[in-house]
Amino acid sequence: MSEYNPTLVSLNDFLNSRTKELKKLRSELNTRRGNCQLTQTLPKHLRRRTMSHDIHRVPYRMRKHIEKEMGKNPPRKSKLKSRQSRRKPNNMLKEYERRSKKHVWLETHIWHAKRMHMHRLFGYKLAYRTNEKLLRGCYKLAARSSVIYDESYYQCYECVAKQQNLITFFSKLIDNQSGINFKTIGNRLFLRGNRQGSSRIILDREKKVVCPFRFIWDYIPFDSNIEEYKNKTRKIWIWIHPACRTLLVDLINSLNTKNYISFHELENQPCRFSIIGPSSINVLQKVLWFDFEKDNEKEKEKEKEKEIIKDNAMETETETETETETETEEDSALKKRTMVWKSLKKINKPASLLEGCILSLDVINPKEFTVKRAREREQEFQFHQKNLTRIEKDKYEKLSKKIQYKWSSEFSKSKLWDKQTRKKLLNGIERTNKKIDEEASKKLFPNVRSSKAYPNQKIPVLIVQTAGSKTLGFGSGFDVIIPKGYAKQFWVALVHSGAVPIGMRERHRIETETGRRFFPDDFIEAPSFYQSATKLIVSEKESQKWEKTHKGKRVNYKKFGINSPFFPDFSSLLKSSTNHNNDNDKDTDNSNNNNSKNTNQIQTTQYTNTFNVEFVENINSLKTNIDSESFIPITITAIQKGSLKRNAHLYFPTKDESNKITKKLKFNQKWSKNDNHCLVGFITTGMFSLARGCGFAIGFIRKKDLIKNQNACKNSIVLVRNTNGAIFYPAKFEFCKN
Amino acid sequence: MVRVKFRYLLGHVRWQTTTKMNSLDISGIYHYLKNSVKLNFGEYAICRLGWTLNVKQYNPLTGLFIVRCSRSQMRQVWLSLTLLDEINSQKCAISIIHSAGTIRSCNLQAIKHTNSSLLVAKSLIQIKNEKEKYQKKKNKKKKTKKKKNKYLPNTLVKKNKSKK
Repeated sequence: MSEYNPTLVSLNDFLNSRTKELKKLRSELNTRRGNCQLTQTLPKHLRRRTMSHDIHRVPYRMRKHIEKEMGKNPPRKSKLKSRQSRRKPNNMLKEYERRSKKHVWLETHIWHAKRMHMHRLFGYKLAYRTNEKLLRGCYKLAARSSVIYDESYYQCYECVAKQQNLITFFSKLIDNQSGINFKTIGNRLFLRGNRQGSSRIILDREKKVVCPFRFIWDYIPFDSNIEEYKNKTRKIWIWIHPACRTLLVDLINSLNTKNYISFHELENQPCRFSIIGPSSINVLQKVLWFDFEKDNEKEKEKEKEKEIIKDNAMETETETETETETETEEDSALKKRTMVWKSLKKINKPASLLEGCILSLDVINPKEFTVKRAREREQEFQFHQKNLTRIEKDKYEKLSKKIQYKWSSEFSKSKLWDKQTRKKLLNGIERTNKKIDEEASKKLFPNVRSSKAYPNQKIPVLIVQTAGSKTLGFGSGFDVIIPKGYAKQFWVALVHSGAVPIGMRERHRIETETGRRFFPDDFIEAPSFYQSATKLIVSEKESQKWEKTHKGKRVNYKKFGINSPFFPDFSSLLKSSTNHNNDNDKDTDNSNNNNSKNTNQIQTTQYTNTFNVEFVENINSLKTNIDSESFIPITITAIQKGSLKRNAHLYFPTKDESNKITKKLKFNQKWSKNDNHCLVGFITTGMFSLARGCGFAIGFIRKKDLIKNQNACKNSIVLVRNTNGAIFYPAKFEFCKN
Repeated sequence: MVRVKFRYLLGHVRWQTTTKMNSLDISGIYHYLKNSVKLNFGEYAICRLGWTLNVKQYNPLTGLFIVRCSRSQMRQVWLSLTLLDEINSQKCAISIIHSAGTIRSCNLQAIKHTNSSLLVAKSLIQIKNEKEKYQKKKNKKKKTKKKKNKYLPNTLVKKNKSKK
């Protein structure tokens, strides 16, 4: 090894190399780096968690050095501002607006979001169901007390033109087959503007897309002649479901090439709440309040005088007549409305009024007074009757009879039709909640009703009656139309006064209890059938749940011969031409014997399919045109026990079976692979009806099968098979009229 | 969690000839090291080493280097380094000065090593300087000294006789 010792060494090179090495080594020792970051060289008590992306957490001495390091891999700059600035009230409002652009928020969204499950439907964020269990309980509430639902997602459109032009324009669009209670826009019932009408529009004649809508005409005084207004400009307001909005607009723009009509969306659209139930009258009377104290005082004085005079001598009716002449039109209109408003207390249910009648009121902001809870109808009725005088009773009886049979257009005149008033109301929300609370805190007795302090701040409101079922009036109520900006205040007041808020699921339930179809879940003839809540929410959940469960623990739909267990597949019925033979049945069942995933694929490809629907009164009135493939809507009630569920299959019974059922003999039939029954239709909504005490459903039957099996349909019996089993339930069917 | 532990070996390369080996690189040393491990211990040893074997630093002027290896294979790497005879067709001798768990302690030891070598150089220079001084002094003293000649006349010599 001593060989490798150098014999000659140059001092300069030796010293220079060693000094350089020493310098480098000492510099490395001083900087304690290695593989760690600069921030890790700090002692532990100076290190902070967010140093990696937030420079302000680093000691000042090291910021420059760390910025250089960060320059190579800069941290992601979050566009969010600091939490403090984000949570300021101005910014919160902007964030709400930003979020609501994608899916539009209603005015009462925040209130609903705290108490209900919200879902994205039709471009809006709507309340689907409450956090509480209210499926069965909503029937009780709707039958005895009252229930409230926010319908302001319905779009309102305004048409302005001459009366005759409007009638001719819409007569082309309206479906002539829209049920038995078919009424056009030009019907005399609606022309004066005192009643609301409903009908159906054909949006696409080829595909036969149909959608329901509601309309109101402009105000005409009751004395005038309707024929004089033929060539005068008039307005219509149309309410339509948002799923069919684009189709409507495209249709009307295509037809209105010469600007025959001015058709546009209403600016500052009013909100719409629907209150259902008998005590909806009480609820409204607690909330909607206007200054009839003056009239009250005058009336009381007059009545006292009259009673005194009656006891002595003659009645003095002439004095009242002379007083009415000197009063102005507005005062007389006010009086009439107050009398109408009071006479509503005499009425037991809103169904006893005329269908679609409209009342307009100028009402004080309910924020300015406390709303007391309304009693139920029966209690209020008895309490009211005790406190009435004899003269008042007679008056109200006369008025109530008038109202039930006649509804003059004076009751429906309102300022909501005016564009400028709506603007003013929106812009003039000067009296915000803060100001009202401030002023109330200064008073001795806050929140006491007194219109004298605020005579000019009155809000025009429209009240529209909605009809229910024709047997008992279940499902009847009032629609309240409120100008934009005041929805939340009215909503809160109505809820405090006793109306229970519900979501779309409960509303659907109440509609089926009345026997009517609910848009869009029961309307096959519109593409919104595939955008409905049952398709997007309910059927998807069920299918996901089914796929997650183990094969041995879930229903084997293949075995039961059900191809689309989660959503009705009407297109498969149209494909099979004749369903009578066994071979065809087998073919259809075997060809479509796929897994659930394939059935879902089938449904998604036929997204825009619509189906022709016809209405029928009797079996005898069926048309013999077998070429047109169409479906007929029916209501089904179970005969024996059993609840009829959604997506159930419908079959026609054989002669022997129908005889058995009519004679009330035992009927125990089960489905098997070699079954002779022919598939006829499906059920779209099914449930156990609490009003009837038996299973009830709404479904569709193919017209061809009805015509062929007319003999079997004489007893109007149908067999129902739910998707989770093979048992046939016998049921009676009737033709649906809506 | 169990950590992967390393060992860092501080080593010194000495060459037989005095030619400058600036062309040698870290990768070159790694290459020859791996070959010697394979020669002496086989492929199993290389597989066990794997990615842990690495040459961290090398100074061609001074000949100091630091090699990293896994803790379990330290002895094998040490041995293979000492048995390395030839690099780039030049004979050399490697001696390992220090083994540590961190590079930092290896650097500390490297500083000590260089300091000691510098001290040696310093002492050598001092010795050299002293020698030169001593010689200079010597030369000076020789020149100043002159011996008396008996056979020179006295006339040149001054006599300080007192008169009797």
